[in-house]
Amino acid sequence: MRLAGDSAAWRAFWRNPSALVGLALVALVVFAALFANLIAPYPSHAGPVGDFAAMTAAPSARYLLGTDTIGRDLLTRLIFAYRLSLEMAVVVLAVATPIGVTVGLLGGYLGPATSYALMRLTDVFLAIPPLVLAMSITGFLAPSAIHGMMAITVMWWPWYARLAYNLTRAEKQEGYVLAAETVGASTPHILFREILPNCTPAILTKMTIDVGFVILIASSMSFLGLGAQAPTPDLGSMVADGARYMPDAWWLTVFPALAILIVVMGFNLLGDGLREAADVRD
Amino acid sequence: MTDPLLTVEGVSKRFRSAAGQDVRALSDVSIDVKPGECHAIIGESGSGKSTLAGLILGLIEPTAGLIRFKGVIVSGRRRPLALKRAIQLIQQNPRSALNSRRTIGQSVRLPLDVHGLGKRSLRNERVAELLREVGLPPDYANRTPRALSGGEGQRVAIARALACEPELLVLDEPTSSLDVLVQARVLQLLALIRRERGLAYLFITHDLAVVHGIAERVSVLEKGELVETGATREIFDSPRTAYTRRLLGSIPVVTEEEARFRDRFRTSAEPDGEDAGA
Amino acid sequence: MSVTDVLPEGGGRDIVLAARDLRVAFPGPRGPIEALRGVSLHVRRGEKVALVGESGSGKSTIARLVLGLLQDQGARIAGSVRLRGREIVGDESLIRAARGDRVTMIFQDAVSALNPTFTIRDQFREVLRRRDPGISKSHADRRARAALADVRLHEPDRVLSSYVFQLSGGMSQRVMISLALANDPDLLVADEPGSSLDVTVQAQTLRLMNDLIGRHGTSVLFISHNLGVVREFADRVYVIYRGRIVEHATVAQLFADARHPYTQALLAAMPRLDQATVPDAPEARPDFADPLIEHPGCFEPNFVAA
Repeated sequence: MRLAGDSAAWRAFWRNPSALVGLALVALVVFAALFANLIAPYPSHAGPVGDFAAMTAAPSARYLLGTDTIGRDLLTRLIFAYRLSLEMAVVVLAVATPIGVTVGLLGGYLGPATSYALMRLTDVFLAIPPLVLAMSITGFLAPSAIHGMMAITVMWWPWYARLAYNLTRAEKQEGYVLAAETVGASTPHILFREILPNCTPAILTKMTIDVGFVILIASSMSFLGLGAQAPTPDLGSMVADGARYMPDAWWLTVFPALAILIVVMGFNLLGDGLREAADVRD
Repeated sequence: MTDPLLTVEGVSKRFRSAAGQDVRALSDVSIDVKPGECHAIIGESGSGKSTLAGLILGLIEPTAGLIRFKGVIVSGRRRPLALKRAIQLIQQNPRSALNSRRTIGQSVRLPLDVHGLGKRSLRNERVAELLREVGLPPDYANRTPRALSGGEGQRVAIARALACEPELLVLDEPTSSLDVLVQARVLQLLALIRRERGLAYLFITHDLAVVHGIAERVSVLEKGELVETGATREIFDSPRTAYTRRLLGSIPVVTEEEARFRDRFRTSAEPDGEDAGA
Repeated sequence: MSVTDVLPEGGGRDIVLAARDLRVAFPGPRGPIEALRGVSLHVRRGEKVALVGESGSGKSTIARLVLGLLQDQGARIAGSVRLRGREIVGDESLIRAARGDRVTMIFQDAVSALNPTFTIRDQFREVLRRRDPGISKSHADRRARAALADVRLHEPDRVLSSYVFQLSGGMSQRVMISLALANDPDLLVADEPGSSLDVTVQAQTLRLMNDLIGRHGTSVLFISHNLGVVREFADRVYVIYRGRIVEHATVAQLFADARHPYTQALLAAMPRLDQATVPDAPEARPDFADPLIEHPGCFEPNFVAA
């Protein structure tokens, strides 16, 4: 459904250099993740066994970004790590967003008592420092990629609840909500078919920016040993593992860190570009 | 003498403002609307007219008094869907009243889906009929509200209200935000629809000139109280209260005859100084 | 007020504002959108000139142009606008200097036009400093109190200490008017003043404004969609349709004998206060775009080519 304002928004987006840079970086990362098997030079190095003849080798023509302590190609492992990171982000957001948005919609639209209860519940979750929460959850359940995802999901949904709550409160004042009420539409209809479509641009923009931040938090957790375990290639773990060998085998830390930078910055720039385009539309 | 369609009986509404003050939006207001009649409610800001509309539509409940529709008490209780259909609203601002993320067709179709009117496969056809009835081409169903002018938007809002097959339309300043030429067209459309469908109108506005041509009865609200009510001709020939006279005297007019008519109501003593409160 | 005096060539002394063949276009999704297509108008000292049109006619564009508020929007401006004889198209510095001092503006809605984070006192000081940068606080306050008394706001100290949202609609409109006239400007541009107010309050406020303008001798460019208001407060009227002036007459001439089809349609469409009729609702006709009709004595003065 083409809206008159939408084309102006898209034009603004395509003319925005940082948005395009973001898009390029994101495209790069997504492409790498999707086609990891095809483009990684040494797919088997994603596992536990590397090239023992080339352990801790500096970047060369053969191993473009060098190898780690058991001879595994760093470039390959980074590509697979991207795949894992994106999977985690997608899963976290796919679960956290619907929960958060639903809570926010209900809190913003329903009566004062329900609203108060829901938003205080949200506040409780927001009050807990994310890493502490993650550590408790993964301390309780054994550390793994899946438990890491669960932990991040639990700390993530309240942000969407807040966002959806604020948007809903604003939209509730609009005439079309009053019109739907007087026509007799049901509350679920009003929330999900009338109000929610007006919130989706902001929500989608936030989701895009959040991909980068989820990856950052996930990397921080696995840096602390709370996420994916060996031999799974993971950006945070790779930074942690390589830290010991600085500054001699600098490539073991620097390249994974740069990889994190690229993906976070890419999604951030893309998300900002979308947000600016959305402002143009309004 | 037919029974009234809607009666508002001794209705008062008080609520707490954000600052914690007790606000009396309406005090002991009694009004009725007969079937097929256009009853105008004249009120400025602070008169309680929007509160009255909200009460009649069942969005809020009276603090005292009751509201009957076709003799049945409807205030103070949940309204069945069939009753919600019978009383519909046209708002002042068509831009806000239409969801910019839904097409015109979806908006007009909503009542049909909510109330299960007609076979599902025929509802789009019904939408086209309704759009034609309000003077819009049926292919507007695929457009979004952003592409519409103010007058067209108001027509869509009217089509949506008509989709409910209502008996009473509450119109809250329906033409106040429209240009003069557009306003005239919308007023003509409203007059036509009322004739053809036998609808009753509760026409809320501050503009006495507009109601002179379309309302059979006029009631004047001032600060939550009903200060005057009567047949339109009486109100214009011999308004009883000072407030009504002041309203009549304030309207900007364009012809000599109207100026002479109006100047009867202008007192030489100028109300001086500040008007009340914030 | 008769407009029969022929202006001497090169005489800009009597004319406060003169626009000549003004064309303004805004960038749009499918090419430029023309808001004004060759508009010429003028306002003389002490005159109240109204510009009447519907939304989209371009009337607000003219108001903003005169105040120099259009430049930021990427508008393409051609033609000439002279303020007291000096050209302001293409020279932003001039209009920036004059704004708030020689040329002021009042808006439809006072509450959104005034700054909510400053008290009224601060806003007066700000405005008075435009004319007299060294003015002392006590002197500014004295003048502010006098200005408020002029618009019949009693309790001036309470008003001065208030923020705009603490005042009623009518009071803030009066404050806006007194701010606009505080520096005794040459030209006041009034963009639909009071149209967001109740009709009783609007009538009172406009009468007050009229009174004050008369005492100061300010010239006014009054922009409105409401012909009734124009009839009460203007001396001369321009009717604008789709970016072009279509009729130019004195108030007496226009309301007794409107000649252009568009003006006639506007008048016929107004609901009558004294009769129980539904107004005429003509569809837009091709003859709405008929060329300009100037009534006797109403013509644009000639400039001397610079």
